[in-house]
Amino acid sequence: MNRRGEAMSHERFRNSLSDYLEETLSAAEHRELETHLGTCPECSLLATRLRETLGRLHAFPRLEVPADFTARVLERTIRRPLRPWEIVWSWVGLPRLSPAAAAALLALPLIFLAGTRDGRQLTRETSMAVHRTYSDAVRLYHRRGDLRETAVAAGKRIPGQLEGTVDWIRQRIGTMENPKTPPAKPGEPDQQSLQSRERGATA
Amino acid sequence: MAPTDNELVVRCLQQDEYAWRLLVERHSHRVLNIAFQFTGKREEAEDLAQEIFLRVYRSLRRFDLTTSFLPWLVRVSRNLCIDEYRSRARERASLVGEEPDPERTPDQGPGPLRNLEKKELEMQVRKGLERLSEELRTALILRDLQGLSYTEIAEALELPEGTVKSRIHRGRMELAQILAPGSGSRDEATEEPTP
Repeated sequence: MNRRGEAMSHERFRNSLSDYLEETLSAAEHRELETHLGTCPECSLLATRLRETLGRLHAFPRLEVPADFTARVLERTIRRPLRPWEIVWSWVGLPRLSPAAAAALLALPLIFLAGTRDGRQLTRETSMAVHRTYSDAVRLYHRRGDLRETAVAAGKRIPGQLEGTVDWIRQRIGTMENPKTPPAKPGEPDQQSLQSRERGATA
Repeated sequence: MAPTDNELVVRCLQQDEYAWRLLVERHSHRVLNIAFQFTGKREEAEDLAQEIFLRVYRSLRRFDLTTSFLPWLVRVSRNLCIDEYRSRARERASLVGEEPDPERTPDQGPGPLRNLEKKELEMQVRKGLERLSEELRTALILRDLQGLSYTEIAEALELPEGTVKSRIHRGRMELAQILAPGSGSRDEATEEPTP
């Protein structure tokens, strides 16, 4: 083989060195290259250096992923900063703050209206209605025993005679507010109850 | 059976946060190390890896679901790493920087002397890689440090597979030449960078 042919041969073998080291040459090519390496110190030295270089690259240190890395990535991608109204809502929406938030929301219009004449009137009427309802509820609570006795005396079951019962409650409250009308004796239905009973029987 | 990357991408596009978490966890080691192999510094690598995931997350809608996710991820990583490398080169910063944190790298073997030798060899390789051209260094990092297949690298770099093989072989040969004992190049690779 002349010098030009020999150089081409070296070049061909050297170009195959990566495939040789990665063991992707065919069996025939592998044998041919090994034969050449056995007789050519230059190519053999090159193959040795290439093998060492690959070994050093493969042994190159790898970083371990820090424990908080994923969290930091998620923080920067999914968990975008909250908008101001979202921050307010997140506080209002907290379960422990919900009753307070609801009361504040109800109070806001009243506070706003309290600054006007109509608003003051509305606030006063609202306040009176609240107090009246509360007082009625208290009276009803204290006279629940009378209600039961009257219903028994009238021979009616309360659930079935709801309308009459409501009338009776109204009369009782009216009696309390107008003491001239004597209250019925315990165990004895009063006049209004009897009238109510008659209406129920007619119905 | 674990969902494929492309299935996770589809779920991410439907605002499935858990799918994104899985995708990040699955590829964080690779992305972090690509960044580390380009920058050579742990802190910079962590920041860069986060930037890569940020870019990936914002670009998910542009990912072609008929292709593989990994080469696309590597392409995004490589592009950002090269941008970073160029900006650092402009600042005349050296690629050979901090040694890897021993607590965050695999076991270095017994004995401080051996550790020292190993670190010196690593520094030579790192500096040798720095002296390669950008295209050879990228190909070498993806193949010999990241362990990607030729097909995956070709897809990531959008090059024919033959070109990729050729670059990898040339990169190895040049690096072997740089690291050869007694070569002036190797001595240069061992020197500390000048400020």
